Amino acid sequence: MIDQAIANYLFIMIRILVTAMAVVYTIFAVLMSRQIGQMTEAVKMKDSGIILMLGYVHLIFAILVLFLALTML
Amino acid sequence: MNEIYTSGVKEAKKSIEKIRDLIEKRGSESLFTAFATFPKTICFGQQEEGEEVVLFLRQHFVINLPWMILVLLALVVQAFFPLFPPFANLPGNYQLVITLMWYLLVFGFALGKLMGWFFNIFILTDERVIDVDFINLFMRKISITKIDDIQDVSSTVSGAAGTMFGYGSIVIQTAGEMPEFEMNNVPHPEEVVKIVNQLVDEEEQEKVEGRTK
Repeated sequence: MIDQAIANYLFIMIRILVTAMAVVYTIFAVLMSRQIGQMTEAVKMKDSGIILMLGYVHLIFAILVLFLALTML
Repeated sequence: MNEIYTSGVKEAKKSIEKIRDLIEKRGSESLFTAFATFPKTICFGQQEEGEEVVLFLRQHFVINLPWMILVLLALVVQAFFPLFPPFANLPGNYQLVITLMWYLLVFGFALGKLMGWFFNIFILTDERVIDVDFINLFMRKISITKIDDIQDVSSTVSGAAGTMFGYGSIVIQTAGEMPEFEMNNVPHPEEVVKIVNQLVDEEEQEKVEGRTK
């Protein structure tokens, strides 16, 4: 009974921690893609679109992880 | 008025042609290039009309190896997560989210490091020196000085890796607001010093001949 209560408490703690981390990380990913956008504007290079695309892929991945954390945990 | 303008543009073109004769075209313009002379596809926000990029520099690509190895290790470490009892005892959905979170952190770390290298740029035009320092994700610094203001330029190659891969540091001392421009781990440092000196000489020649822009 007590073991079950501790396990539930731990799962709640993990859920809160992972979700909070995913929220903070998504904000960080937004800032990162904005920074990439500004840098590619400041210095234009032939293939800088690739790094801009990587920034957006990273942001989409962060949003996906946040969504999964909110729905699956 | 038009004649004066046309003559100014002609003089600028003449000056560029002279610089082109002095400095040979080197390096590619690919995504991961670290050294390129007269790159056609590179331009910057504050570039003036008629101003041409003579040299484009980044740190040598080899300096990315330590973080790349770290990223590979981080990806390998993930395979051992199920061997750790705290992780192994979690339900499947928790394991999936934590694993994806780990991959996201590794991706973010790699992207941050790549950005640090990719956007840390040094540009030499026929008129100015532009140093773009990408200090961290939330801090960047752009320093500009005129070729006229350059007083001294020196290069240093040190360490086993620097000697093996041919990269080193460049220090440009100026009489401008920013007293020193420093670029570390750049490829062909001696070549860079030579190009800077050629640009300074050409600028002085322009002054003597009274064809400064």
